[in-house]
Amino acid sequence: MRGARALAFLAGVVYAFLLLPIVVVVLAALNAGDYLTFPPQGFSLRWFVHFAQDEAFTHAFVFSLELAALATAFATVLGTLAALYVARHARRAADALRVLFVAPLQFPAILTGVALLIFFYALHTKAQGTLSLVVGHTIICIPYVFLAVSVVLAGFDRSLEEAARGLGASPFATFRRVTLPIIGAGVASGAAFAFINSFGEFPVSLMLAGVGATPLPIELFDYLRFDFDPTAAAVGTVNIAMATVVVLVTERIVGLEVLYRGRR
Amino acid sequence: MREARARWARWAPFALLLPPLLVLALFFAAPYANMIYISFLTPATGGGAYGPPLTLGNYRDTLGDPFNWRILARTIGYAALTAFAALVLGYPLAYHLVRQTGARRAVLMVFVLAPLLVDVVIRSYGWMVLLADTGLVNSLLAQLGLPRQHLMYNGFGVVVGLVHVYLPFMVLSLLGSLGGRLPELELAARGLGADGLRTFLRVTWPLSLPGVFSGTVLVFVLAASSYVIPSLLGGNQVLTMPMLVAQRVLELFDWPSGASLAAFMSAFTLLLLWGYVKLMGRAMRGIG
Amino acid sequence: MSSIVLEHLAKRFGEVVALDDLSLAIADGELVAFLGPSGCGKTTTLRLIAGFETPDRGAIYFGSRRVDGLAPERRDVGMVFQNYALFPHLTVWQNVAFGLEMRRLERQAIRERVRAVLREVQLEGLEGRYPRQLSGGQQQRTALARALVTNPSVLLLDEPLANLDANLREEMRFFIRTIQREHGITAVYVTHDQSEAMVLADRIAVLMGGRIVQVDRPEELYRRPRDLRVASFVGVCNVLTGELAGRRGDAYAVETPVGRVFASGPEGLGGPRVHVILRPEDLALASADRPDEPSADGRVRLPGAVVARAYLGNLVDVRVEVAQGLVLRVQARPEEAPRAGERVVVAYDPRSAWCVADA
Repeated sequence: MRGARALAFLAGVVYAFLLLPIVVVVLAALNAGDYLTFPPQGFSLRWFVHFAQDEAFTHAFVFSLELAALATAFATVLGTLAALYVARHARRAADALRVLFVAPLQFPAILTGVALLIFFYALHTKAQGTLSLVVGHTIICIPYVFLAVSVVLAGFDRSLEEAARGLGASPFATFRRVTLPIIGAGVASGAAFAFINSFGEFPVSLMLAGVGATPLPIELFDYLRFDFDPTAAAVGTVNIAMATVVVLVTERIVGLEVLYRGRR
Repeated sequence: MREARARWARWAPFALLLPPLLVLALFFAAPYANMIYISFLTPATGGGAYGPPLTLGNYRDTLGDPFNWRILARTIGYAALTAFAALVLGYPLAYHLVRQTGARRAVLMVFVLAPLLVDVVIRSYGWMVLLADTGLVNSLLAQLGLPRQHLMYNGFGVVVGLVHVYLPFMVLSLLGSLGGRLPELELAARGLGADGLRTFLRVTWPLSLPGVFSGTVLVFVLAASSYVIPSLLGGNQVLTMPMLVAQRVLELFDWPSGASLAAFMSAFTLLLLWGYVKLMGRAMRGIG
Repeated sequence: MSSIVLEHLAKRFGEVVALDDLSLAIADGELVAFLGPSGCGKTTTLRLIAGFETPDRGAIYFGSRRVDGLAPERRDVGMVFQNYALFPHLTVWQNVAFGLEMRRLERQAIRERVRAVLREVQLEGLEGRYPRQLSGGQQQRTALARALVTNPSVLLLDEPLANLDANLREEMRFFIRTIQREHGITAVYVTHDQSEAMVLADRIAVLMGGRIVQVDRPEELYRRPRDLRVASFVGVCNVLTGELAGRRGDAYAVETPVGRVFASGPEGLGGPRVHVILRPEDLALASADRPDEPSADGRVRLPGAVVARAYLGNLVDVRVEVAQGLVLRVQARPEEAPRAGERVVVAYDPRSAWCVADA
């Protein structure tokens, strides 16, 4: 019994370690002082005001939202198609395709970024900028959608689609009225996950960001190299709030564990 | 009519596969292949232009430069230290988490995984707030009348950050092999007269080796290729391999050299992993 | 409503031959059960009729309309699946209305049809429930309502009762039979349960190895099976194997290990090796120490010893060894059943025994 309590205590310490920097960011954002000290110096929202008034940050924030939205839209369509094919039509190629569609998660993102940058230059396009970022982020996001949709498809009963066809629904009507509503939750959580990962993606953005096309993490990174006043904390708190929503939604629908299995 | 339908049924599925396959082939496989190709091209002086003839010169330069080896050694050292620390912290956490049930388990699971969804830069910032010379930890130390410590812009800060970021992956790997029928087997061992320590050494630890193995490999690989943490928590004091690659590519525009460096780093990491796999394979014989 | 004609259907999956030249005509309003062990091709045939699979060869007609090239949604079939395949995201009402919506009926018409069908299957009051909130029997009836609501040309049922418990299964057999009769709808019913097929079907098609072995009314199938496989699949049977030794009146004489026995059989039975099939309920027991029990009726009498008995409530299953290693199962009334070890005589009427040629 003493062993069990010691174990619970030990685990508690590690949980604290995991959550500590996140709590600290939120506290720093709400703290009135220029930097967080112990004890805190009172409550204030002034860093959020700073953030709202800082044009570089707000611009990067909006740009990141747009970028994540675009990349998520593409990745959701592509990842869902891939999952449908692998779950239903791929026979001998299933394993190879699964490896391929999860690969962008398993290769070091910094190398993927470098490879894309060199590749875009070779194509004589404008290598750094919005278009490149959208492509790069789409690639990075596909595995999340693929994994989430694969999970719901694994539990999908094909006879539901046959029942719909038998009742007079065309293949398209069957997909829209039966398949999509049932796998929809998986698609949605994959998309949410893709969005949040695109929003926080760093290495690929570092390589492909261009003039006027700077995602928020890059902007923050540049800022923090010279300065770390709590404006960054305010930005971080907004990000943490977004992540919390996604976590709660995803955990309900497919379970978070599944989406990181691909890392193996 | 039936022929037409049969033909359609055979080919229609490829309409699903084609778009994602094309996108990944064009924007994932092709860029990597291109990068490897470029690592064999001759760099031109200045401006990022490069071209034929094919050469091994980039690799000769990369391998011949002791500076690169020093950076590689440091990168691998941090990654190994991170994997070890993550194992030490993650093992009790996973052991505890597996034995929870229901809503409690779900909440704890969220605690483990949620940090992964927060922007790495912001997580690093959290550590900066804590570890800076004027940071939270030092202000606490000062209150207690203790001397200030240098906690970041050095190896310590980098490893703390790396452990924090990759610990969840370690926990996930361990969960698999610490759950299942392991709790039952432990009870069986206790029933056969083994005490707590011997149960752990003879049953729990050997059976959890697959999880330990996959967790350490995963964290090692992720840590070795991390860019953000060493840049922010190491300041300009700590240079690692991914930073060096990025520097060559972004600041010096020396792509053949950057590409060969990337290949060098990947190859060496794989080589180490191969040795580790052999070693662990011997230890795990019979567990599968 | 229309008849169903299957002509020379063949289907293989890779190397496996699922159907091998299957032909069958099902009359308008008839219910035919496909009976057979798993893997015999009965479900494949049903899926070909529904349009979920395409035959490699052959044709399928509903009435005069050839349907085998049509997509499932254009065939106008109603199907009940083994697991019901109810849409989990739709309520009972929405599940049943689905087929009507696909046919673009007017709202008012949909409402009336759905209400009428739900009343028929006694699901009034459960319209707003989701499938997971229903019992197995209710799910089954929802599936039936969904299949019937569109007034399809044919009704296809794939082991619809397999997931219900025994009591409910018996009740639902009669329910499905009644509804099918009332609608006068042509139906195909796939099952591996011979008693279900007996109760429900106008005719039973026994499938084995991708072919129809025999199609007949249930009594015919039971009393006059074509071969030993059919006989043992449709019920418990005792088998005496021997050589055909000629005829005596309507009966065949067969030389067996227990002596010469007599049995009826099909016209032109081929020999020499034949099997005499004896159903347990057609065998009677007499005590061996009264050998002169009335024998004027021409019954066949086989002496033996009781080796085991099992009490089943309404009757006793008695096992009698009539020759070395040859044991017959006999049904006896509990108050008349002999004890183990007792010597008895097994008697039967040659008209109730049936001979088949060796396959």
